[in-house]
Amino acid sequence: MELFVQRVIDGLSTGSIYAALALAIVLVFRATGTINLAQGEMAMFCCFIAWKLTDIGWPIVPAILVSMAAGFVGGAAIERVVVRPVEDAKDHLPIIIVTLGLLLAVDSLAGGLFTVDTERLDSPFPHGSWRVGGVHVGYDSIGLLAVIIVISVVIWFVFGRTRLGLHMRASVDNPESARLVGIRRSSMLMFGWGAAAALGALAAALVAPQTFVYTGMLQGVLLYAFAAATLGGFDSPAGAIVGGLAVGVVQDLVAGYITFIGNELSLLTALGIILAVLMVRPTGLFGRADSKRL
Amino acid sequence: MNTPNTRSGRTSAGRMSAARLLPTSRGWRGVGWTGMLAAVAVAALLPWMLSSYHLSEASSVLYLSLAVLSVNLLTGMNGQLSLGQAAFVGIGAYSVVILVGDHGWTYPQAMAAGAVLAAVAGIVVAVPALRLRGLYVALTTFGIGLVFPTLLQKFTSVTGGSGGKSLTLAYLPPAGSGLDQGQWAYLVSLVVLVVAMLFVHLLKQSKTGRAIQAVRDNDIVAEGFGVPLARIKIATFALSAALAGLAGGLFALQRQFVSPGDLGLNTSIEFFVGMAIGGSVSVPGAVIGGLFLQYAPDLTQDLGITPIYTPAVYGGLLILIIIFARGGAAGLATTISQRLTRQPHSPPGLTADRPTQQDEPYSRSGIGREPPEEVL
Repeated sequence: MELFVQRVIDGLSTGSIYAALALAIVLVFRATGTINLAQGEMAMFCCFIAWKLTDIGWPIVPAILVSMAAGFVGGAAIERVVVRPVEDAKDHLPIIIVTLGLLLAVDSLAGGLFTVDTERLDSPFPHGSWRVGGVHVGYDSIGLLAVIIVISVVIWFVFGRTRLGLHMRASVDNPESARLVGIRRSSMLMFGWGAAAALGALAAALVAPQTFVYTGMLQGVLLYAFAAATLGGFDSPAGAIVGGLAVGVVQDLVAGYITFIGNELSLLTALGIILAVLMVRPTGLFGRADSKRL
Repeated sequence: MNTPNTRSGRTSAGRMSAARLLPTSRGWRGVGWTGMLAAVAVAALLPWMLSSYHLSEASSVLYLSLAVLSVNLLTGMNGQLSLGQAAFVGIGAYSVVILVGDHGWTYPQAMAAGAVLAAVAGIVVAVPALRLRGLYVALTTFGIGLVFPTLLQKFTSVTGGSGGKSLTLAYLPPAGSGLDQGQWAYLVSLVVLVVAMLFVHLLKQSKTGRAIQAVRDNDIVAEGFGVPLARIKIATFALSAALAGLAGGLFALQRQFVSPGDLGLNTSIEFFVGMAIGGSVSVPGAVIGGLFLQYAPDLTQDLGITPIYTPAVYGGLLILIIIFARGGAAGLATTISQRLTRQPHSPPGLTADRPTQQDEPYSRSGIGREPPEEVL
């Protein structure tokens, strides 16, 4: 029982990272109507910026904040420069192929501009753990959960309670009418991509103490984030968070109790979740009926 | 056989224009076939013209072209996106190395088995996604692309793990032919590629081929006209995976070695770049894509670009092509031939045939009919 609780808690803490990246995927999906396959590589690039700053002596928290700011600017710029020219309401294939090109390019630029070696990034949370009965709850697990709760509240507040959020939802739900009342859809798209990239940068910095920092650090994590977004529903921020936590727990339980899968084949769990959701409930838990039009 | 010029003279008789001196679009097709036959003839003579090193490079072009052709069929013609194409190539390659090396199969048997296995794997992963509209198949194939190398690690005793697996037994040329192994591997690859290209070309012209392309252009209308959407998508996906598996078989035949390092996500995306360079719906374009993938790394290095930035060049090119020249090399050729003959017909491309938004019959103001699909 203690082992089970331990695994659930560990799962929740890895799940919060999946949730943050899944939220980035959902933000892009809500803005542009498709997925950004380079989301993981963009986040990895930002993580290298954070690593570079700590390498020249910055403390970790400001370094992460700067990398998130760089992510925001970079994400917005990418939307404007390479995604906008191929935007087409009817056909998302060109956009998705452009994001494939981005994936290759960002991956290679990160290797060339920073390093192809594996680097270490410290955790922003203190070491040690808190003992409850026989269960260890690491301070980093508590920190990760706290971060994802803060992110959820911020997203809920921005989308639900501010003018900016109202404009974003309007330009996504009904672009024509939104334009007629004077909402700049193009700014909203840039904002969506920028916010997504900033969230991705945060997720990358938080996962880096476990995966280390290298160009392929987020490929597997991105698959889990896709599984989380599929489970939660691609257009639902709440779904992304619930899906992320659920995927984290399922991954830890499967790796713990099914020895054949273990840690080596844990990506199989992510693929299995995606396939199962597509077969049983393609809209995901919280997705709208038409969100299966990915 | 008519020469292109006399044919064009007949079809555009009575029209006085400079176009008269040049072939019409039907004439261009004749030029195309003649050109293709000449290219195949030259390709068939290469084993006696090139050194064994250059011949092995030319052999790589053939397997790369087949892999690009598989992406052409899937993405260019059917509008689906597979990010696991390198995994299907890997299934074909590992099948040959394992079945020939450890189980005593012959090369042709093992290559056929590899193609079938790739198709089966493709169906298992893709069917849940293919029942749905849209790009879910991109997600599941992204998954298989990442999972495949971990499976190779898990079953190291069979696959050789991350070090790869080599095959000591080469595919021996028929006795008395006077060919060496490299020449024989090249010629077998050439035959496989030419047959596959012919097959895809005939498929594209057939009724099924039109259905495949109709699904890409407008699945709702296609379904209305009685195209069995899911069946067409699943069959195309399986066929594409089989072609990729066959490409993997050629890879194993040429190298007698395969390792997971060559089969990552980047390789799958590179096949995309090859498709975009050659032209997404063009069958001969696949060879241009294959040539590009084989020789571009040397070329960028000659231009003074460090090899680490080669993928950045690929990625940048892919983006530029999608933004500025959807049709790739084949599209440019078509555009030029149209300019010369002044016969407008729609260029090939991922979305080139679609009407622009302004031409669409529904009203954009929200009054009247609703658009069939609106941005989320």
